Amino acid sequence: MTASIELQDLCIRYPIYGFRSKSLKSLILNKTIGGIIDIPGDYSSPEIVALNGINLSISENERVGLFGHNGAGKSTLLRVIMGSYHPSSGKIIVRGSISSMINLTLGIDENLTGVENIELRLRILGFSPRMVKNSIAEILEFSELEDYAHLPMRTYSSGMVMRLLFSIATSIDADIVLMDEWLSAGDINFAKKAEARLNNYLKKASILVIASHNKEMLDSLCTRIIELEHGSIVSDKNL
Amino acid sequence: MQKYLLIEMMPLFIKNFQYWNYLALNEIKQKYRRSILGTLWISLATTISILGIGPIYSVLFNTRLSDYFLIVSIGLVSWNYISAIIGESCGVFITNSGMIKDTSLPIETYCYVVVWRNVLLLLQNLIILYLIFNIFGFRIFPNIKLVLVIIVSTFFLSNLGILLSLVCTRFRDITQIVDAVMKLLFFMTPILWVVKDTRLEESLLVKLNIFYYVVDLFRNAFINDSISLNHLSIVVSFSLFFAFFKYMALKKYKNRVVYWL
Repeated sequence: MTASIELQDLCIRYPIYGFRSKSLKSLILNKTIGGIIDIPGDYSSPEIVALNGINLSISENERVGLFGHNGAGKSTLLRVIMGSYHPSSGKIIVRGSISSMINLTLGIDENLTGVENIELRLRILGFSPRMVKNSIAEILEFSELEDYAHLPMRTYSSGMVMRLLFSIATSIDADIVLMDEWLSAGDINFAKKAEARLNNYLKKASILVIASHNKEMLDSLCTRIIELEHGSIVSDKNL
Repeated sequence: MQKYLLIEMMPLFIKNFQYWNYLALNEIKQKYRRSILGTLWISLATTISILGIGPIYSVLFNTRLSDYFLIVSIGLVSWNYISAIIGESCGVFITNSGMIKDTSLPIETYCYVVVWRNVLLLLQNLIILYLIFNIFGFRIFPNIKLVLVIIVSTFFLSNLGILLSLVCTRFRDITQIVDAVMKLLFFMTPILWVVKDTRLEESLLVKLNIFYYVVDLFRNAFINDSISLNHLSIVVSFSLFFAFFKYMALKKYKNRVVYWL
Protein backbone atom coordinates (compact mmCIF):
# COMPACT_ATOMS: atom_id res chain seq x y z
CA MET A 1 0.00 0.00 0.00
CA THR A 2 1.33 3.39 -0.85
CA ALA A 3 0.99 6.18 1.63
CA SER A 4 -0.83 9.33 0.65
CA ILE A 5 -2.67 12.30 2.09
CA GLU A 6 -5.51 13.93 0.25
CA LEU A 7 -7.41 17.00 1.41
CA GLN A 8 -10.33 18.30 -0.57
CA ASP A 9 -11.74 21.71 0.11
CA LEU A 10 -11.18 21.17 3.80
CA CYS A 11 -12.40 23.68 6.36
CA ILE A 12 -11.97 23.71 10.11
CA ARG A 13 -14.22 26.09 11.95
CA TYR A 14 -14.79 25.99 15.62
CA PRO A 15 -16.80 28.09 18.01
CA ILE A 16 -15.02 29.82 20.86
CA TYR A 17 -16.96 29.13 23.97
CA GLY A 18 -16.07 30.75 27.25
CA PHE A 19 -15.58 33.97 25.37
CA ARG A 20 -19.19 34.53 26.21
CA SER A 21 -19.29 31.67 28.70
CA LYS A 22 -20.08 28.15 27.59
CA SER A 23 -22.93 27.72 29.99
CA LEU A 24 -26.55 26.82 30.08
CA LYS A 25 -27.28 30.11 31.78
CA SER A 26 -26.09 32.16 28.86
CA LEU A 27 -28.03 29.96 26.47
CA ILE A 28 -31.25 30.42 28.40
CA LEU A 29 -30.66 34.07 29.23
CA ASN A 30 -29.90 34.82 25.62
CA LYS A 31 -33.24 33.33 24.72
CA THR A 32 -35.16 35.30 27.29
CA ILE A 33 -33.46 38.67 27.31
CA GLY A 34 -32.09 38.70 23.81
CA GLY A 35 -33.87 41.94 23.00
CA ILE A 36 -32.67 43.94 25.98
CA ILE A 37 -28.97 43.32 26.20
CA ASP A 38 -27.08 43.93 23.03
CA ILE A 39 -26.41 40.40 21.95
CA PRO A 40 -26.32 39.43 18.29
CA GLY A 41 -29.64 38.02 17.08
CA ASP A 42 -28.73 34.40 17.64
CA TYR A 43 -26.96 32.91 20.63
CA SER A 44 -24.20 31.30 18.66
CA SER A 45 -20.61 31.85 19.71
CA PRO A 46 -18.07 33.58 17.53
CA GLU A 47 -16.28 31.13 15.27
CA ILE A 48 -12.65 30.74 14.43
CA VAL A 49 -11.84 29.66 10.92
CA ALA A 50 -8.64 27.74 11.49
CA LEU A 51 -8.39 26.26 8.02
CA ASN A 52 -10.24 27.53 5.03
CA GLY A 53 -10.72 25.57 1.82
CA ILE A 54 -7.49 23.59 1.84
CA ASN A 55 -6.85 21.51 -1.26
CA LEU A 56 -3.76 19.43 -0.92
CA SER A 57 -2.43 16.16 -2.16
CA ILE A 58 0.72 14.63 -0.75
CA SER A 59 2.10 11.44 -2.16
CA GLU A 60 4.87 8.92 -1.52
CA ASN A 61 8.40 10.18 -0.80
CA GLU A 62 7.44 13.77 -0.27
CA ARG A 63 8.99 15.82 2.50
CA VAL A 64 6.57 18.63 3.10
CA GLY A 65 7.41 21.70 5.14
CA LEU A 66 4.60 23.84 6.52
CA PHE A 67 5.63 27.42 6.98
CA GLY A 68 3.71 30.39 8.33
CA HIS A 69 3.14 32.81 11.17
CA ASN A 70 1.82 31.84 14.56
CA GLY A 71 -1.82 30.95 14.15
CA ALA A 72 -1.54 30.40 10.42
CA GLY A 73 -2.97 26.91 10.83
CA LYS A 74 0.15 24.74 10.69
CA SER A 75 -0.50 22.75 13.84
CA THR A 76 -4.20 22.52 13.09
CA LEU A 77 -3.37 21.04 9.70
CA LEU A 78 -1.10 18.49 11.36
CA ARG A 79 -3.86 17.53 13.79
CA VAL A 80 -6.32 17.17 10.93
CA ILE A 81 -3.98 14.77 9.18
CA MET A 82 -3.45 12.90 12.43
CA GLY A 83 -7.21 12.53 12.79
CA SER A 84 -7.98 14.25 16.06
CA TYR A 85 -9.49 17.34 14.43
CA HIS A 86 -12.42 16.47 12.26
CA PRO A 87 -13.24 18.65 9.25
CA SER A 88 -16.22 20.97 9.50
CA SER A 89 -16.61 20.60 5.78
CA GLY A 90 -14.63 19.04 2.99
CA LYS A 91 -12.86 15.73 2.96
CA ILE A 92 -9.67 14.12 4.11
CA ILE A 93 -8.33 10.77 3.02
CA VAL A 94 -5.18 9.42 4.63
CA ARG A 95 -3.60 6.15 3.58
CA GLY A 96 -0.87 4.62 5.70
CA SER A 97 0.01 4.50 9.36
CA ILE A 98 0.75 7.75 11.17
CA SER A 99 3.29 8.65 13.79
CA SER A 100 2.69 11.98 15.44
CA MET A 101 5.53 13.84 17.09
CA ILE A 102 3.34 16.83 17.78
CA ASN A 103 3.11 16.21 21.49
CA LEU A 104 5.93 14.11 22.85
CA THR A 105 4.72 14.32 26.43
CA LEU A 106 1.40 12.72 25.55
CA GLY A 107 0.28 10.37 28.31
CA ILE A 108 3.50 10.80 30.29
CA ASP A 109 3.10 10.59 34.05
CA GLU A 110 6.04 11.61 36.13
CA ASN A 111 5.09 9.31 38.98
CA LEU A 112 5.55 6.27 36.77
CA THR A 113 8.97 4.77 36.18
CA GLY A 114 10.79 5.15 32.88
CA VAL A 115 9.82 1.66 31.77
CA GLU A 116 6.18 2.15 32.75
CA ASN A 117 6.07 5.40 30.85
CA ILE A 118 7.48 3.76 27.74
CA GLU A 119 4.84 1.08 28.05
CA LEU A 120 2.05 3.59 28.63
CA ARG A 121 3.06 5.75 25.70
CA LEU A 122 3.39 2.82 23.31
CA ARG A 123 0.13 1.26 24.46
CA ILE A 124 -1.67 4.54 23.87
CA LEU A 125 -0.35 4.44 20.34
CA GLY A 126 -1.79 0.98 19.86
CA PHE A 127 1.19 -1.30 20.43
CA SER A 128 0.45 -4.82 21.63
CA PRO A 129 2.07 -5.94 24.90
CA ARG A 130 4.56 -8.07 22.99
CA MET A 131 5.60 -5.22 20.70
CA VAL A 132 6.08 -3.04 23.76
CA LYS A 133 8.37 -5.62 25.35
CA ASN A 134 10.54 -5.73 22.27
CA SER A 135 10.84 -1.95 22.09
CA ILE A 136 11.66 -1.24 25.72
CA ALA A 137 15.23 -2.55 25.71
CA GLU A 138 16.04 -0.73 22.49
CA ILE A 139 14.62 2.56 23.75
CA LEU A 140 16.47 2.35 27.05
CA GLU A 141 19.70 1.51 25.34
CA PHE A 142 19.55 4.40 22.94
CA SER A 143 18.53 6.91 25.58
CA GLU A 144 21.31 5.61 27.86
CA LEU A 145 18.89 5.52 30.75
CA GLU A 146 19.13 1.83 31.70
CA ASP A 147 20.25 2.70 35.21
CA TYR A 148 17.23 4.91 35.72
CA ALA A 149 14.71 2.61 34.05
CA HIS A 150 12.98 1.67 37.28
CA LEU A 151 13.03 5.04 38.96
CA PRO A 152 10.00 7.32 38.82
CA MET A 153 10.32 9.90 36.10
CA ARG A 154 10.01 12.81 38.53
CA THR A 155 13.58 12.02 39.58
CA TYR A 156 14.84 12.57 36.02
CA SER A 157 16.47 15.79 34.94
CA SER A 158 14.67 17.61 32.13
CA GLY A 159 17.43 16.55 29.74
CA MET A 160 16.89 12.91 30.66
CA VAL A 161 13.15 13.27 30.17
CA MET A 162 13.69 14.72 26.69
CA ARG A 163 16.09 11.89 25.82
CA LEU A 164 13.56 9.30 26.83
CA LEU A 165 10.67 10.99 25.02
CA PHE A 166 12.79 11.42 21.92
CA SER A 167 13.85 7.80 21.95
CA ILE A 168 10.28 6.60 22.33
CA ALA A 169 9.01 8.81 19.52
CA THR A 170 11.70 7.68 17.10
CA SER A 171 11.10 4.01 17.83
CA ILE A 172 7.64 3.97 16.31
CA ASP A 173 7.82 3.14 12.64
CA ALA A 174 5.11 4.62 10.46
CA ASP A 175 4.39 5.51 6.84
CA ILE A 176 3.58 9.10 7.65
CA VAL A 177 5.49 11.17 10.20
CA LEU A 178 4.05 14.42 11.52
CA MET A 179 6.32 16.86 13.31
CA ASP A 180 5.82 20.23 14.92
CA GLU A 181 9.29 21.79 14.80
CA TRP A 182 12.51 19.84 14.56
CA LEU A 183 13.48 17.74 17.55
CA SER A 184 16.72 17.73 19.41
CA ALA A 185 17.58 16.31 22.76
CA GLY A 186 20.28 16.09 25.35
CA ASP A 187 23.84 17.37 25.60
CA ILE A 188 26.20 17.81 22.62
CA ASN A 189 27.16 14.15 22.36
CA PHE A 190 23.63 12.93 22.62
CA ALA A 191 22.31 15.58 20.27
CA LYS A 192 24.63 14.29 17.52
CA LYS A 193 23.50 10.74 18.09
CA ALA A 194 19.87 11.90 18.18
CA GLU A 195 20.22 13.81 14.93
CA ALA A 196 21.55 10.70 13.20
CA ARG A 197 18.73 8.59 14.59
CA LEU A 198 16.08 11.08 13.60
CA ASN A 199 17.43 11.36 10.05
CA ASN A 200 17.54 7.62 9.78
CA TYR A 201 14.03 7.37 11.16
CA LEU A 202 12.67 9.91 8.71
CA LYS A 203 14.35 8.09 5.82
CA LYS A 204 12.26 5.03 6.59
CA ALA A 205 9.00 6.98 6.47
CA SER A 206 7.23 7.49 3.16
CA ILE A 207 5.89 10.92 3.96
CA LEU A 208 7.08 13.60 6.32
CA VAL A 209 5.02 16.66 7.15
CA ILE A 210 6.83 19.14 9.37
CA ALA A 211 5.67 22.53 10.61
CA SER A 212 8.28 25.10 11.49
CA HIS A 213 9.25 28.76 11.64
CA ASN A 214 12.78 27.90 10.61
CA LYS A 215 12.89 28.51 6.86
CA GLU A 216 16.51 27.38 6.42
CA MET A 217 15.86 24.08 8.13
CA LEU A 218 12.79 23.48 6.01
CA ASP A 219 14.69 24.40 2.84
CA SER A 220 17.43 21.91 3.57
CA LEU A 221 15.10 19.12 4.73
CA CYS A 222 12.03 19.32 2.54
CA THR A 223 11.17 18.67 -1.06
CA ARG A 224 8.13 20.88 -0.93
CA ILE A 225 7.29 23.99 1.04
CA ILE A 226 3.72 25.05 1.70
CA GLU A 227 3.11 28.46 3.13
CA LEU A 228 -0.03 29.07 5.16
CA GLU A 229 -1.58 32.35 6.07
CA HIS A 230 -4.82 32.78 8.00
CA GLY A 231 -5.77 29.20 7.35
CA SER A 232 -5.27 29.22 3.61
CA ILE A 233 -2.46 28.06 1.40
CA VAL A 234 -0.71 31.07 -0.10
CA SER A 235 2.12 29.27 -1.83
CA ASP A 236 3.04 25.69 -2.65
CA LYS A 237 6.51 25.20 -4.11
CA ASN A 238 8.41 22.10 -5.07
CA LEU A 239 12.11 22.52 -4.45
CA MET B 1 -19.15 6.42 8.50
CA GLN B 2 -19.01 4.47 11.68
CA LYS B 3 -22.29 2.79 12.52
CA TYR B 4 -23.33 2.32 16.08
CA LEU B 5 -25.89 -0.42 15.83
CA LEU B 6 -25.30 -3.06 18.40
CA ILE B 7 -23.77 -5.60 16.03
CA GLU B 8 -21.48 -3.09 14.42
CA MET B 9 -20.39 -1.86 17.80
CA MET B 10 -18.93 -5.20 18.80
CA PRO B 11 -15.72 -5.07 16.76
CA LEU B 12 -14.87 -1.61 18.08
CA PHE B 13 -15.58 -2.86 21.55
CA ILE B 14 -13.36 -5.90 21.25
CA LYS B 15 -10.65 -4.10 19.30
CA ASN B 16 -10.38 -1.49 21.98
CA PHE B 17 -10.83 -3.80 24.94
CA GLN B 18 -7.12 -4.46 25.38
CA TYR B 19 -6.56 -0.78 25.21
CA TRP B 20 -9.06 0.40 27.77
CA ASN B 21 -8.45 -2.57 30.02
CA TYR B 22 -4.83 -1.51 30.17
CA LEU B 23 -5.68 2.16 30.77
CA ALA B 24 -8.21 1.31 33.48
CA LEU B 25 -5.73 -0.88 35.33
CA ASN B 26 -3.08 1.75 34.89
CA GLU B 27 -5.29 4.47 36.34
CA ILE B 28 -6.06 2.33 39.36
CA LYS B 29 -2.39 1.58 39.80
CA GLN B 30 -1.45 5.24 39.53
CA LYS B 31 -4.04 6.38 42.02
CA TYR B 32 -2.93 4.00 44.72
CA ARG B 33 0.78 4.11 44.02
CA ARG B 34 2.89 4.52 47.16
CA SER B 35 0.05 3.50 49.46
CA ILE B 36 0.64 0.26 51.27
CA LEU B 37 -2.88 -1.14 51.06
CA GLY B 38 -3.42 0.05 47.47
CA THR B 39 -6.89 -0.52 46.10
CA LEU B 40 -7.88 -2.20 49.35
CA TRP B 41 -8.37 1.33 50.65
CA ILE B 42 -11.58 1.58 48.68
CA SER B 43 -13.02 -1.49 50.32
CA LEU B 44 -11.65 -0.43 53.66
CA ALA B 45 -13.30 2.97 53.39
CA THR B 46 -16.63 1.30 52.63
CA THR B 47 -16.19 -1.14 55.51
CA ILE B 48 -15.46 1.68 57.92
CA SER B 49 -18.59 3.59 56.95
CA ILE B 50 -20.68 0.44 57.24
CA LEU B 51 -19.31 -0.23 60.71
CA GLY B 52 -19.97 3.35 61.71
CA ILE B 53 -23.43 3.70 60.22
CA GLY B 54 -24.69 0.21 61.13
CA PRO B 55 -25.08 0.40 64.93
CA ILE B 56 -26.77 3.83 64.77
CA TYR B 57 -29.13 3.41 61.83
CA SER B 58 -30.17 -0.11 62.76
CA VAL B 59 -31.64 1.37 65.96
CA LEU B 60 -33.13 4.25 64.03
CA PHE B 61 -34.85 1.94 61.55
CA ASN B 62 -35.60 -0.68 64.20
CA THR B 63 -33.80 -3.44 62.32
CA ARG B 64 -31.60 -6.26 63.63
CA LEU B 65 -27.96 -5.16 63.36
CA SER B 66 -26.87 -8.20 61.37
CA ASP B 67 -29.69 -7.73 58.85
CA TYR B 68 -28.92 -4.06 58.66
CA PHE B 69 -25.26 -4.71 57.92
CA LEU B 70 -26.33 -6.71 54.86
CA ILE B 71 -28.74 -4.00 53.72
CA VAL B 72 -26.38 -1.10 54.10
CA SER B 73 -23.23 -2.80 52.80
CA ILE B 74 -24.63 -3.77 49.40
CA GLY B 75 -26.51 -0.47 49.30
CA LEU B 76 -23.34 1.56 49.74
CA VAL B 77 -21.23 -0.58 47.43
CA SER B 78 -23.75 -0.40 44.58
CA TRP B 79 -24.33 3.31 45.11
CA ASN B 80 -20.59 4.03 45.09
CA TYR B 81 -20.44 2.19 41.78
CA ILE B 82 -23.32 4.19 40.32
CA SER B 83 -22.23 7.60 41.54
CA ALA B 84 -18.58 7.06 40.61
CA ILE B 85 -19.44 6.28 36.99
CA ILE B 86 -21.87 9.16 36.71
CA GLY B 87 -19.63 11.64 38.49
CA GLU B 88 -16.51 10.72 36.54
CA SER B 89 -18.29 10.57 33.20
CA CYS B 90 -19.22 14.22 33.47
CA GLY B 91 -15.62 15.35 33.35
CA VAL B 92 -14.07 12.53 31.38
CA PHE B 93 -13.36 14.47 28.17
CA ILE B 94 -12.05 17.46 30.07
CA THR B 95 -9.71 15.24 32.08
CA ASN B 96 -8.50 13.56 28.90
CA SER B 97 -8.39 16.66 26.73
CA GLY B 98 -4.68 16.24 26.04
CA MET B 99 -5.20 12.73 24.77
CA ILE B 100 -8.23 13.69 22.72
CA LYS B 101 -6.35 16.48 20.97
CA ASP B 102 -3.31 14.39 20.22
CA THR B 103 -4.64 10.97 19.33
CA SER B 104 -7.34 9.80 16.98
CA LEU B 105 -9.03 7.29 19.27
CA PRO B 106 -12.84 7.25 19.22
CA ILE B 107 -13.94 9.39 22.16
CA GLU B 108 -16.18 6.69 23.64
CA THR B 109 -12.98 4.88 24.58
CA TYR B 110 -12.39 7.31 27.43
CA CYS B 111 -15.89 6.62 28.77
CA TYR B 112 -15.30 2.89 28.61
CA VAL B 113 -12.11 3.34 30.62
CA VAL B 114 -14.14 5.03 33.36
CA VAL B 115 -16.81 2.32 33.32
CA TRP B 116 -14.36 -0.55 33.22
CA ARG B 117 -12.20 0.83 36.02
CA ASN B 118 -15.30 1.07 38.20
CA VAL B 119 -16.47 -2.41 37.26
CA LEU B 120 -13.12 -3.75 38.46
CA LEU B 121 -13.40 -1.83 41.72
CA LEU B 122 -16.98 -3.03 42.18
CA LEU B 123 -15.90 -6.64 41.74
CA GLN B 124 -13.17 -6.16 44.32
CA ASN B 125 -15.65 -4.63 46.77
CA LEU B 126 -18.14 -7.45 46.23
CA ILE B 127 -15.53 -10.14 46.75
CA ILE B 128 -14.47 -8.54 50.01
CA LEU B 129 -18.08 -8.24 51.17
CA TYR B 130 -18.64 -11.92 50.50
CA LEU B 131 -15.47 -12.77 52.41
CA ILE B 132 -16.35 -10.67 55.44
CA PHE B 133 -19.95 -11.88 55.65
CA ASN B 134 -18.95 -15.49 55.29
CA ILE B 135 -16.34 -15.13 58.01
CA PHE B 136 -19.09 -13.86 60.31
CA GLY B 137 -21.32 -16.78 59.48
CA PHE B 138 -23.71 -15.36 56.89
CA ARG B 139 -24.50 -17.90 54.19
CA ILE B 140 -24.48 -15.70 51.11
CA PHE B 141 -22.65 -16.60 47.93
CA PRO B 142 -21.91 -15.08 44.55
CA ASN B 143 -24.73 -16.02 42.20
CA ILE B 144 -25.69 -15.82 38.57
CA LYS B 145 -28.44 -13.28 39.26
CA LEU B 146 -25.93 -10.84 40.67
CA VAL B 147 -23.80 -11.29 37.55
CA LEU B 148 -26.84 -10.47 35.45
CA VAL B 149 -27.53 -7.39 37.57
CA ILE B 150 -23.94 -6.22 37.18
CA ILE B 151 -24.12 -6.62 33.39
CA VAL B 152 -27.46 -4.83 33.07
CA SER B 153 -26.51 -1.99 35.39
CA THR B 154 -23.17 -1.54 33.65
CA PHE B 155 -24.94 -1.31 30.31
CA PHE B 156 -27.32 1.22 31.81
CA LEU B 157 -24.59 3.31 33.42
CA SER B 158 -22.31 3.31 30.39
CA ASN B 159 -25.09 4.62 28.15
CA LEU B 160 -26.08 7.27 30.64
CA GLY B 161 -22.43 8.08 31.29
CA ILE B 162 -21.57 8.65 27.63
CA LEU B 163 -24.64 10.81 27.21
CA LEU B 164 -23.69 12.89 30.25
CA SER B 165 -20.07 13.15 29.17
CA LEU B 166 -21.14 14.77 25.91
CA VAL B 167 -23.64 17.14 27.48
CA CYS B 168 -21.33 18.14 30.34
CA THR B 169 -18.45 18.94 28.01
CA ARG B 170 -20.61 21.26 25.99
CA PHE B 171 -22.48 22.84 28.91
CA ARG B 172 -20.18 23.03 31.90
CA ASP B 173 -23.01 23.89 34.30
CA ILE B 174 -24.60 20.49 33.89
CA THR B 175 -21.70 18.94 35.80
CA GLN B 176 -22.65 21.02 38.82
CA ILE B 177 -26.30 20.11 38.43
CA VAL B 178 -25.50 16.40 38.19
CA ASP B 179 -23.31 16.76 41.26
CA ALA B 180 -26.10 18.35 43.28
CA VAL B 181 -28.71 15.86 42.08
CA MET B 182 -26.52 12.88 42.91
CA LYS B 183 -25.95 14.21 46.43
CA LEU B 184 -29.69 14.53 46.87
CA LEU B 185 -30.36 11.12 45.37
CA PHE B 186 -28.07 9.53 47.94
CA PHE B 187 -30.77 10.32 50.49
CA MET B 188 -33.75 9.69 48.24
CA THR B 189 -32.57 6.29 47.07
CA PRO B 190 -32.93 3.28 49.38
CA ILE B 191 -29.25 2.96 50.19
CA LEU B 192 -29.23 3.24 53.96
CA TRP B 193 -32.82 2.07 54.18
CA VAL B 194 -35.23 -0.22 52.36
CA VAL B 195 -38.65 0.36 50.90
CA LYS B 196 -40.99 -1.60 53.15
CA ASP B 197 -43.86 0.79 53.72
CA THR B 198 -46.55 0.72 51.01
CA ARG B 199 -46.82 4.51 51.20
CA LEU B 200 -43.21 4.62 50.05
CA GLU B 201 -43.78 2.00 47.38
CA GLU B 202 -46.54 4.13 45.94
CA SER B 203 -44.63 7.39 46.26
CA LEU B 204 -43.64 8.97 42.97
CA LEU B 205 -40.44 10.24 44.55
CA VAL B 206 -39.38 6.63 44.88
CA LYS B 207 -41.00 5.21 41.78
CA LEU B 208 -39.54 7.78 39.42
CA ASN B 209 -36.03 7.33 40.74
CA ILE B 210 -34.33 4.97 38.30
CA PHE B 211 -31.48 4.35 40.74
CA TYR B 212 -33.95 2.87 43.20
CA TYR B 213 -34.45 -0.04 40.82
CA VAL B 214 -30.73 -0.48 40.23
CA VAL B 215 -29.85 -0.50 43.93
CA ASP B 216 -32.80 -2.77 44.65
CA LEU B 217 -31.69 -5.27 42.00
CA PHE B 218 -28.22 -5.36 43.52
CA ARG B 219 -29.55 -5.80 47.03
CA ASN B 220 -31.99 -8.58 46.26
CA ALA B 221 -29.49 -10.51 44.18
CA PHE B 222 -26.83 -10.11 46.84
CA ILE B 223 -28.88 -10.94 49.91
CA ASN B 224 -31.69 -13.15 48.69
CA ASP B 225 -30.35 -14.56 45.43
CA SER B 226 -33.53 -13.27 43.81
CA ILE B 227 -34.35 -10.87 41.05
CA SER B 228 -37.41 -8.81 40.30
CA LEU B 229 -38.21 -9.15 36.62
CA ASN B 230 -40.36 -6.08 36.87
CA HIS B 231 -37.45 -3.96 38.12
CA LEU B 232 -35.07 -5.58 35.69
CA SER B 233 -37.25 -4.71 32.73
CA ILE B 234 -37.53 -1.10 33.93
CA VAL B 235 -33.74 -0.77 34.06
CA VAL B 236 -33.36 -2.47 30.69
CA SER B 237 -35.89 -0.18 29.06
CA PHE B 238 -34.20 2.90 30.50
CA SER B 239 -30.89 1.54 29.22
CA LEU B 240 -32.29 1.14 25.72
CA PHE B 241 -33.80 4.59 25.91
CA PHE B 242 -30.44 6.11 26.86
CA ALA B 243 -28.67 3.90 24.34
CA PHE B 244 -30.79 5.36 21.59
CA PHE B 245 -30.00 8.94 22.63
CA LYS B 246 -26.36 8.06 23.10
CA TYR B 247 -26.29 6.67 19.59
CA MET B 248 -27.90 9.79 18.14
CA ALA B 249 -25.72 12.15 20.18
CA LEU B 250 -22.51 10.36 19.28
CA LYS B 251 -23.42 10.27 15.63
CA LYS B 252 -24.04 13.97 15.60
CA TYR B 253 -21.47 15.33 18.01
CA LYS B 254 -18.58 12.90 18.45
CA ASN B 255 -16.46 14.82 15.96
CA ARG B 256 -17.21 18.13 17.62
CA VAL B 257 -16.14 17.19 21.14
CA VAL B 258 -12.51 18.09 20.48
CA TYR B 259 -13.56 21.66 19.74
CA TRP B 260 -15.55 21.95 22.95
CA LEU B 261 -12.56 21.32 25.17
